Amino acid sequence: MGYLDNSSVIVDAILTKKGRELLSRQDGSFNITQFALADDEIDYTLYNENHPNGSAYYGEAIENLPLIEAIPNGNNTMVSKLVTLPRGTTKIPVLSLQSTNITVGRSANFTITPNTLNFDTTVESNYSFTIADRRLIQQGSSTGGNGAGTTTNIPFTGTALSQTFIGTSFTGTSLAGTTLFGSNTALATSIIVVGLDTGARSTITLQVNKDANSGTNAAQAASSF
Amino acid sequence: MATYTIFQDGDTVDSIDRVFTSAWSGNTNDLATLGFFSSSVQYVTTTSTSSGAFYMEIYNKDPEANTDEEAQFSIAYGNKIGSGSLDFSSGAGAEGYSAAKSIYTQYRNLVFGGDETQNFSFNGYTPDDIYVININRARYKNALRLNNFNLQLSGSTKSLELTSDSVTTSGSANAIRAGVGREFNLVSGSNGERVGSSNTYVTDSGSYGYIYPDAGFIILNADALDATAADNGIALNTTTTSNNNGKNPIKLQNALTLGDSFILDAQEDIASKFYFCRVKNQEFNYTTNDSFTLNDGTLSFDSMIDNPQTYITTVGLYNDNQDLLAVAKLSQPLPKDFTKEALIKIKLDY
Repeated sequence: MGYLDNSSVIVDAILTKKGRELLSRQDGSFNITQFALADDEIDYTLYNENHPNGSAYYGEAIENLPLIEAIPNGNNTMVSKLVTLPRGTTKIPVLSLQSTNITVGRSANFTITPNTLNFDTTVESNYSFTIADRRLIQQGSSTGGNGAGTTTNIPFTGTALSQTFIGTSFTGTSLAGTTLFGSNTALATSIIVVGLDTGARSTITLQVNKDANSGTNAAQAASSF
Repeated sequence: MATYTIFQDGDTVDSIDRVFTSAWSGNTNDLATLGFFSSSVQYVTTTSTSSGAFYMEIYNKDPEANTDEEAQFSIAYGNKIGSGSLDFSSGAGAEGYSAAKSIYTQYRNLVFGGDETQNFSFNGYTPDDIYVININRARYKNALRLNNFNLQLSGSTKSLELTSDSVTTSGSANAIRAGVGREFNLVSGSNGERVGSSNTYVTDSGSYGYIYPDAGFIILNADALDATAADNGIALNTTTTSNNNGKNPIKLQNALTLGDSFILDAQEDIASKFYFCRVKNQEFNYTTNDSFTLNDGTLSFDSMIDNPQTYITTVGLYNDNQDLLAVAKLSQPLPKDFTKEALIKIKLDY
């Protein structure tokens, strides 16, 4: 990873891992239709309202920051999105989750139902739920949104690929087999929840225990988070 | 409130850029500066079916002394009656079925299709045998660029400077072959320009050969190379004895080494798509960046309530399912507020 040449006029894009996966399918799923903006790397504490040269220089430390090159892992980029809000907004919408840690056994169901604070309503029209390593779940479904109500079985892949579900809530079932665990007693991945109206984002850690009886298992009712 | 902006008609445009680079590893202009190395592991000719009986790989580094060598091209020898290499089997009916015959028929099939009555003919002269220089696919990308193609072959007393006739013919191919595309003559000259007015330089042996830029290989007339220096050959001394391990590719490798120049460019057509991301003054003036707000979402700076200031560093391209398909980074943070608009041009290569 190196620093970008700031004399560039045209910005070169790179495909993410997800982009390469969808492009290789050649089934039309690689179809760019929209864009979003982010300010990854920017730390607004550098914004200096006490700058001696006046307001034109408040952002001096930020504006001169050399940026690093793009990261192909889509789960680690576009982390803090820019959003469009009415002028005069005093609070930015944030996600509210009952817990940011989920611990389950194998073949256990779990449900994530996020809310959004500082928003017109408490529930956005849709949220995206991205499981960073989809090998840790065997199936998932969402309510509301595209494909809602349809249970998607996760195909086996040798490498960690992400899977995104769109809806107002998400229910997943952890993996059934023990092969992926090897000698580990537990595996963990991240579930990234993003409000599609507000861009509010939160990350949940999903830990699946090898011991099916350790944590919530399939025989019990789905746990909500 | 929105975080995604849908591209409208006119926001995307397709483009194809043609890029030329040297065909050789490390963008080396002349492979001779690196050398023409073969491998004693690959080039084994002890049995009739050894890979070395069919072709010799040429590397940019000595494979015995390095681990990062890369194959640049292969040298193969073909003979239409199978001479110059060992027969696969012995006995009546198996004569002439050898690696050399396989190579000859393989390339004949590529160039002329399934017509077994066709043979390689060089300006009316049809030799029994050919040499093939087959450029590694990874080296020539989509096609060979002919206008600065220069190949020098030398014998003990004579040196040939070969090129295509692509400039002489203003890019008009000698023929378009169904299986391999354009065919140009391999002629004496440099940088695509033929010396003299005829493709034939070798007395009674026809022209030097053909080059197929779309398929990435060169067919050389073995008889023309075997001709004496007086007849404009390099006395390559090809072995044409039947059922004989002639090791002919080594002879062309030696001629390349003595010639000391092989310049070839690769051509690559890169399909690009440009996305014009139009950011209006009312849009993207707030951020979900944690350092922009306190824990409950309240803005960290009072001055930003009416005049929020954000900085664009990253552009994400998404599909309808909000899958992040491509990402682009700006070279410096781009300030954005209610008084600014931006047009960011994103180039995505396939």
